[in-house]
Formats: sequence, C-alpha cells, structure tokens
Amino acid sequence: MQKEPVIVIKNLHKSFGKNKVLRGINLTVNKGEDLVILGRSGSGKSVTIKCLVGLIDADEGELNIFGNDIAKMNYKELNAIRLRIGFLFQSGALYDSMSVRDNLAFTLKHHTPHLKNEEVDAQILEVLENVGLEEAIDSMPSELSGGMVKRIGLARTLIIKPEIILYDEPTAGLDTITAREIDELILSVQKKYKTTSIIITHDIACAKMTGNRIMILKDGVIHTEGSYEELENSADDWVRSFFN
Amino acid sequence: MKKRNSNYIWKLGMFVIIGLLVFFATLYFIGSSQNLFGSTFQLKTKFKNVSGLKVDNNVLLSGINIGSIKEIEFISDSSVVVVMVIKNEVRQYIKTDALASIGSDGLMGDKVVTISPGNKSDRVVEDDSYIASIEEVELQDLMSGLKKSIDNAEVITKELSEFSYKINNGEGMLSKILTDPQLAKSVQKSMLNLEEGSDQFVLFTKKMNDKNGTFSKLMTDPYYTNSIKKSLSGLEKSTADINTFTATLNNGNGIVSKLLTDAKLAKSLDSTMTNLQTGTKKLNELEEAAKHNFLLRGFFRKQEKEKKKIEDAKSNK
Amino acid sequence: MIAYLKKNFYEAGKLSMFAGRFFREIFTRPFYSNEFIRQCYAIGFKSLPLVSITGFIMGLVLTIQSRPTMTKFGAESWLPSMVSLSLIREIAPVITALICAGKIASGIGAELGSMKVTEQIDAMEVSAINPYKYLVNTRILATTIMIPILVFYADFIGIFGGYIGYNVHGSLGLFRYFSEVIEHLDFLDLLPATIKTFFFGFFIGLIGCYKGFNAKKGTASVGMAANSAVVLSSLIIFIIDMLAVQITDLFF
Repeated sequence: MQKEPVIVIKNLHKSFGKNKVLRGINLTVNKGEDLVILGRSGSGKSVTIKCLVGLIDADEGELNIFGNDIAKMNYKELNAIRLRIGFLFQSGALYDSMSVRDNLAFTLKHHTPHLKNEEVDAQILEVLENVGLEEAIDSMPSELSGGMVKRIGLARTLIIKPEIILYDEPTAGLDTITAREIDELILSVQKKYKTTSIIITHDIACAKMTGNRIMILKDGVIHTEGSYEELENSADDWVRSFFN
Repeated sequence: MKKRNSNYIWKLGMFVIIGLLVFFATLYFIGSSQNLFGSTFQLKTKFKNVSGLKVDNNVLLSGINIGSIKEIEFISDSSVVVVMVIKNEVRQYIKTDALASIGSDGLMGDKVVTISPGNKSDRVVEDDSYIASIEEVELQDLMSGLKKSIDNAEVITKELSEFSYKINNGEGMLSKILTDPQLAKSVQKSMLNLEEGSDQFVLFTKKMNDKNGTFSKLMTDPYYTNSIKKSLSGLEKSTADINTFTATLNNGNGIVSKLLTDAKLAKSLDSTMTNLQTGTKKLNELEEAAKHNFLLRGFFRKQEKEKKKIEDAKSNK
Repeated sequence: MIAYLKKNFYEAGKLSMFAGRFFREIFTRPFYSNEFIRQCYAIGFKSLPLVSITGFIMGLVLTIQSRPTMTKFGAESWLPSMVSLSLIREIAPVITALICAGKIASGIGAELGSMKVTEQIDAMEVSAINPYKYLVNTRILATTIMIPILVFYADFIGIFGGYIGYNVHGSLGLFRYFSEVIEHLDFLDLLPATIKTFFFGFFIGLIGCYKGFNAKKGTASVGMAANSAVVLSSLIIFIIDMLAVQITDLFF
C-alpha cells in the first residue's frame, strides 16, 4: 500500500480558558490506515478530532485534510470536506425527534435533493443491512438500546459514503459483548467501504481489534506511537499500564 | 415522513385558517362600522363652525348611524367643508334638500352630524354633491345676547332702587302726593269745591228744564223758531253768493283770476317786482352816498336836527 | 459588580449576534419547510387549548371584576366594549405571550439544550447541515408567525368569555354583545396590538433557541437553559410591551 497522507496535523494547540488541552499534536494518517488514539479521559482525544471537522476552532496549528487547510476554508468549502468525512459520536447523537428512517434520510435528502424516495429507501436499507439492523427502520431512537444507537449512528455516517470515518469512543458505555460486536462492525465497514479511520478510545480491546497503528496521548501531546505489540512491550511503565 | 405529515398538516392548516379568518373578520367588521369597506357614497356640506367635530365622528339620519366624517377642511377663512361617507343603502332616503346640522351625541359629548330629511324635493342626492347646512346656535352668541339683557336688567334694577329710595326719602312730586298732609288738605278742598260745582250744575239743569226759562223758551217757542229759520235761509243765500263768486274767479275772466292764473301776467308782475326791488336798492345806495357827500352833509344834519326837535316836542307834550 | 455587568453585557452581545445570524440566514437557501410546518404545528396548534382556556378565563374574570365599578358609574353598558378593548389592546397579547413563553420558550430551550448536550447539533454540523438554519430559523419563524395567530384566538375567545361573564348578572344577546364590541373597536386598537405580538413571538423563539443552543455540557444545563429561557423571555415580553405602548402613544 502506497503512503498517501489524507490527514496531516501539525502543532495543534487548543485551550479552554486556562486549561491547555492540546499542546502541539503532530500526526499523519495515510489513506487506508486505521489509527487508534488512546488516552485517559480528558487527555484531549475528542478535541483533536473535533478540531479536525471544524466543530472546535483550533487556537494554533495546521489541520490538513485531503491537502486542504481547514482553518483557511469558508463555511461552504468546509461543508464540502465534511461530506467526505463520517463522524460517529460517543452517544450516537441520533436525532431524537426523528425515526431511524428519517435520521438516515435526513442527511441524504439534504445533500441530494433530486433523489427519489425509492432510491433513498434503497440506500437506507443497504446501510441498515450493513450494520445488521434492518428491522429497526421505523423505530424511534428512544426505543433503541445503546448498542443499536451506535450502529444506527454508524449507518448514518455510512450513508453519505465517507472516505474518512472518525470514531469517538465507539465502545464507551457498552457491555463487552456488544463492544466486540461494534468492533467487528468497524472492521467490516473498513473493509467494505475502504475507509481511512481514526478511532478514539480508552478500550484497549477495541484498539487491538480495529487499529493497525496506535498513538497514546498524554498531557496534550503524543506520548508514544507504534503498533499494538510494540506498545504492549513498551519500556515505559505508564504506557504498559494501559494494557493491564 | 409523509404518513406523519398528513396527520398534522391539516390540523395546522385549520388552525391557521380559522385564526386568520377571525382576524380578517374583525378587521372587516371594524371597517364596515367605519365605512371603509362596502359600498358607500360621499356627501359634502359647508359649515361656518364645526364646533369640535372630528374625522370619524358619526353621521346620523333619523337617529340611525349611517356613516362617518371622512374629512374636514377649510375652504376659506369662514367656512369649512365636511366630507361624509355614507352607506349606499340609505342614499334613497336623502333628498337634495336635506339639511345637515351638528349636534352632540351621548354622555361623552361626541359631536355628530345629523342629516334631517327635506320634504319638498323628490330627487335623491348625487354622489359627491353638496347639501345645505343649518348653523347651530352658537353658545357664544347665546351668551353675548344673554349678557346684554343682563346688563339691561342691571340698569333697570338700579333705577328702580333709586326710585324707591327717593320715594321713601320724601323728595319730588310723587312723594309729596303720597306723604304731604297739606297737599292732601288742598286736594280735599278742591274736591269739596268740585262737589259744590256739580251741585250747582244740577240746579242749573233743573232750571233749564223748567218751562218758563229762556232756554226752554228758545227751544220750544214757535216764534223763535221762525226767526232762526229765516236767518238760516239768509245764511244759505250768502253762501250761494260766495259760491258764484268763486266760480267766476275760477272761470278766469276777472283781474283777480287773471292774476292767479295768467302766466304772462305773473311773469310781468314778477319782473316789475324785481325792478322795484332794484330801484329801492339803488335809492338806498344813493341816499347813503348823499349822506357822505360833504355838500349835502349839512342838509342831512339839519334834517336830523329837525327830526330831533319834533321828537323832543313830542316827548314834551 | 463590574464582573456582573460585564457578564450581562456579554450575554446581550451574544444574543444580538444570535439574532443577527437569524436575519442573515433567513434569506439564504435552503429553507426547511417541512421542519417549519412541523414547528408551526407544535407551537401553534398544540398551544391552542392552553391559550383558549386562559383567554376565556381572562375575559370572564375581567368582566365580572369590572362590573361593580362600572355599575357604580352607571356605565354598565360600556362593559362589553371596555373588556374587549382591554383584552385586544393589552391582556390577550401579553397573557398569551407569557403562556407561550412558559410553554414554547422552555420547550425549545430544553429541546435544543438536550440536542446540544447529546451532540445532535454537532452531528448535524458534521453532516454539513447548518443546524442554525434547520433548528433555529424554523423555530423563530414559527413562533413569530404562530404567536399572533394564537393571540387572535385568545382575543376572540376572551371576548366570548366576556359575553358569558356579562350574562352572569345581566342579559345581553350574543349578537348585540358582539356588535357592541365591534362598534367601539378601532383599527388603532387592533393593529399596534397585532404588531407587537410578532415581536413577542420573535423573542420567545429567539431566546428559547439561544438558551438551548448555548447550553453547556451535562443534563443540568438543559434544565437551566429551559428555566432561563422562560425567565428572560417573560422579562423581554414586558419590556417590549412597554416600548410598544409608548411608541403607539407617541404616534397616535
């Protein structure tokens, strides 16, 4: 696989008030790569990927996606980039007021208004099949379990056929069995859609399954970088503490 | 999504439409009570004084509200045109000789224009035409009239009080009449005299009625009657003579008549008179001149002396 | 003290910018008409029972309460027009707006607040959908249009309540009552009152959205957003009402 960088982050800084969350993050993600960012709560993992999609404005640093600097884009150009990126939120973030079908149709209809209803329905069914939840099409988000919400959330990001998917704590708040199901789903999606992924997690099992490269974030900087095996056998006690 | 849409969209539509209907119905009704909507026509009238009439005040016909004032504007320094907007359906009841007047309505004293129907004309008023108006009796005029009569009353009462004061304080005739005892006595005396006089008059008439009295004789004796008759016929004759004389006078042959009627004579008489007048005048002048002439002064002096002498002699006598 | 003032000025400035964004974005495509209609339904139709009941009770109570005074002045026949005038000019708009501030502003505040907390607004943002347009514009526009319509209902039902209240002691036909009411009404009674209800609606929507949109993280902030939305919008309703009365007084 040739190395083609799709995401380049250089010297990213962000602080909330006096709390300096990010103090110079540098990372590069190549096309087809699955990067896992490990870190403890509050280490700035989520902030990093939220900066990446423009949800949070960075204080300093360069954010390059597909060769374009996020900070220099206007709203329209940013939205064009956003359409190529899927973002799976920690809570799933399904729209409460809409059924699963409407949740999925919402983005699709918005960006492709010329699409006929049958075509929209066909695409919805396709992504639901991919996440294995065809039967939930007419339920409301409040009727779904936590794992189902995550899967529908993933389905919603998949419907716009993204090139990059950012997973924010995909297994958080789930029991181990459901978490493994989600991990498998992520793997199958990576294969099927040929996406580049950044997976943020503190679940080491998830990291092991989904990532082919792992970074550990500490105090707003990248502490360690390497494959699962490399890090498991790291000389650093602090790094090894993740794996126990 | 479509399924759920149809569930609520009709309710929303109903809600909005009924709400807007209520609003527009209210607007319409307010408008129709102000005649802004619906078919109306305009009438104009002129007033000297609108006494506080305002735009949007009501117009009444026989006590029924038929319209409102649309416009009030000056056309000269002493007259104001009032434009009224009136419902079309009452137009047939307003004839060309209808009269407009300004009155007050209700407790709050809103001004209204009242149209009183005329009775002679059969023609219905035209749109935008003028009708005559009756000026309201102005309170101010009323007050000034009232003030005049009050002033008069004041003068009268003042004089009355003066008068009664004088009576009470015993000056003047009336007071004397009413209060002087001497006057009363003399009045009594004259009354007594009068009584006496009337008594004698009674006696006199009694005597007159007596058959032997001169007067009675005069009235009753046939001799006297004859002589009276004779003298009366003489008198008749003389009047007849006078008649003939005046007739001849009028006929115009006599000198007198000529004098009175002939214009030529009158003219010559006139000129004679003027000549005479100038003659005497000149004589007067001459005499005056003579008086001043030193030659004749002596003569005049002598004459004067003589005159004096005669006068002295006369007085001595 | 200065910090407190600064905080309030900061809030006011943010609110103004939020309102400014509404006017900037209302004229650009796309417009989410489905969401707008849904919000109209939720705000207008669903508030109707509440507004009707309060309007009816206001008309009824106002008539019954004013009757003794009016009778004292021998102006009992003025009761229908007086009650309807005060309803149309002041009471119906303000009461309806306050009821809606309680129901709608808190609802919007809580809804958007929870959407913010559960990252739904962020989700919309990263799906390249402008959440401001979709969530805020539709809601503000819906309140701006629906509140006046609710006020028309409140006017009408309130006046009808006045009719019932009048007939508790007196007797007057429905037609006579309404013609009495209409006769003393003027466009000047109706129009300024209607115009100010648009402002009421706008601010109810604006403040509900603002408070919800700016909710912090955590479920507690959702409750706070709803609460402060009600408080602020009620306050602003009274301030607008005062301004509206003064402006109306100035011009007419």
